[in-house]
Amino acid sequence: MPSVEQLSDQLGSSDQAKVYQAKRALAEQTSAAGAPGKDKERAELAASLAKIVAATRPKSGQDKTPVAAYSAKVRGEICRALAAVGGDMETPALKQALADFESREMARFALDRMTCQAATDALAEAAIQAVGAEFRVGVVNALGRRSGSGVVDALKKCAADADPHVRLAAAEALANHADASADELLVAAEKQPGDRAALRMSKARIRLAETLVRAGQQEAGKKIYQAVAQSNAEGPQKKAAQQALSQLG
Amino acid sequence: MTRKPGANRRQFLKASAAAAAAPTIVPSTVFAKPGQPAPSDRVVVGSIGTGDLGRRHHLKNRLLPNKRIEVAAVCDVDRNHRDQAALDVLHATGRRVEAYKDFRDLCDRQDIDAVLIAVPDHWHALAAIYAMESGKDVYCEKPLTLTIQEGQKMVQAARRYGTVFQTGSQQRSDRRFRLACELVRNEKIGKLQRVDTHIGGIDSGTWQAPTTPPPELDWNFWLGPAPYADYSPNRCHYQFRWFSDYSGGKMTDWGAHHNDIAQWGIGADGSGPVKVKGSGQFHENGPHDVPGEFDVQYTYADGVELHCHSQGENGVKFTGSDGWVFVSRGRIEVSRGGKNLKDYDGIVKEFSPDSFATKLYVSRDHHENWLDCIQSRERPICDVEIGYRSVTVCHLGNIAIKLGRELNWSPEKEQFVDDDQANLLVSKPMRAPWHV
Repeated sequence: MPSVEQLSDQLGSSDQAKVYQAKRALAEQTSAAGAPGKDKERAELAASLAKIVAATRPKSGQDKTPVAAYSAKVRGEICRALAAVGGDMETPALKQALADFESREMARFALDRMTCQAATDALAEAAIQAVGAEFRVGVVNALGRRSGSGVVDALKKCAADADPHVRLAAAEALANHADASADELLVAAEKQPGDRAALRMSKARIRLAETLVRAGQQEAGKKIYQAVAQSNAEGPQKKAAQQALSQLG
Repeated sequence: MTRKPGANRRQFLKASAAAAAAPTIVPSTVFAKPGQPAPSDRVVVGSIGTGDLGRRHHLKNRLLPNKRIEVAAVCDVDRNHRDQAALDVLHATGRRVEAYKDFRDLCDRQDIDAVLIAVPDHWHALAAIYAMESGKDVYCEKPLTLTIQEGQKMVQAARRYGTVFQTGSQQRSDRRFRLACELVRNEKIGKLQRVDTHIGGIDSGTWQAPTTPPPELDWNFWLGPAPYADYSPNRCHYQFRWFSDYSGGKMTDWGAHHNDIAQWGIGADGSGPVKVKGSGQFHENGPHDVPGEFDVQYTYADGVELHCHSQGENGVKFTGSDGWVFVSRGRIEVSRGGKNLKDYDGIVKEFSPDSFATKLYVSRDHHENWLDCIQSRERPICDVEIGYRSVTVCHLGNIAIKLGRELNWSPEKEQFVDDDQANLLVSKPMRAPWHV
């Protein structure tokens, strides 16, 4: 069985078939190591993959500044593999990769899939502190799919961010969490100009109401449905609110 | 007369007609001409995705010739596709329609009642959910989703907005498939034991060097939620099916037809198998990274087994304790008690399905059924949840092949049992700004 280092070198090949073979070999290794009861194998493989993500070399003979030892493409594929087996121990390497413009998207993809609290914390931190609206929106969207401590607080901070794209994405993401106080932020974001803000927020309010009802907060959900039904929201959202209200009785 | 918030175009037209009827003179344009539906009953449709399937099959053959439909807009990220589709509408109707690149612009139009979505698989959920949130009824091509989670979100959106949603697994509207499933459900082949679906494999494809996308194609938009990849023609139009970032290969492409029929025959709509194990062969050198050949075995709670194969004659075979029935497009054959019946009419005569205790939903045309339901607000024959559950069977197969081990699935909780890694594969991260 080829080592992770060998496969990483192969991923850097200019021969597309060789790259494909390395990807397949990695997929097989992660599938086998991720099986229930294979904790030791999983941990070993994950550590090897994280090592590749974090590996550095001197920039050149004269310039000793450390740069990534592997290309962005290779690190991207390694991140993809790491998503299937990574956990708390591998999060620092991915967190570091989040700061690298070339690899951060695939590092975010990996953290997005990993379910550990360390991954949640890394994403929450990046949502608030990273640079670049497009990247941060991706991180915020990832947080919207997660539970765990710190998620709602991070999203609320992002909903008050200076960047309008981040604000809207965070408000939308809050709709997935059963926190009735988020409705104020959604209403505030509705007034934002452009980017279909009013429409997106009225959709998000319907989802927030549904999330609350599912979580047993029926009165809080009804209150939002009633507000949408009486608002200037688009027809489909008003209709959805009215339908939900009639079902709730 | 202005449109009330919440009223769609047809409701508005009907209200207008009622108001106009009061003083005795009714504009003739509001009511039907002989042989044609009234404008108020016509469904104004936007066609999203006008490539091969969207344009050739749906737009030209099913939407434009249908007098119950008015095509008001077309949309594709490939300028040539959308302009060609707009030209088709012009030739067929004499009307110029807007050709959009972004499906959201089309869905934002309030004069459009419904959309037909025939975009690549990795876009189905995003486009359909946006359309539903915009108050549109939806016909969405199969395979319904790229992931299991997308299907869950689509079902939620459809119920939230009261959407009439037809999944494009159109074999449910074929009399042969219905008859086969009715025979099975009424135990005419005895107690059902096993179903075999044969859906074909896929070759390895050939490598092409990455190149600059053609000017008419917005490649970044085409990729949308999928991880960035350099453009090459053979991972884009039509061929996207064989790349796992955009589709599930033959397993979802044809599985969404035949495994859908298996679900119907088993009586598992709204549910699914409880166990799955699969073996598959991936091509040694790519570029196609979906299983080339495969055999997947599913077990349902009542012990019925579904075997999905890449090999064998394309079709579905149900085997019971007293016989079997095979069905494919254009062919149905029943064997019971040493007697083989090979023609539809002969089988009907032999079994008299009109007398069956269990009768299945009758639709003779998938598009017409969708239109009927848009009028009646009933659920179509292949409602979103049916499409979701059927494509989930396919996704389970791909996940079992990928992981190489037997998996336990809970159709009630819609998650794998005691396998954290398998549960990671229920969804996929998306590139910003896209999310479901």
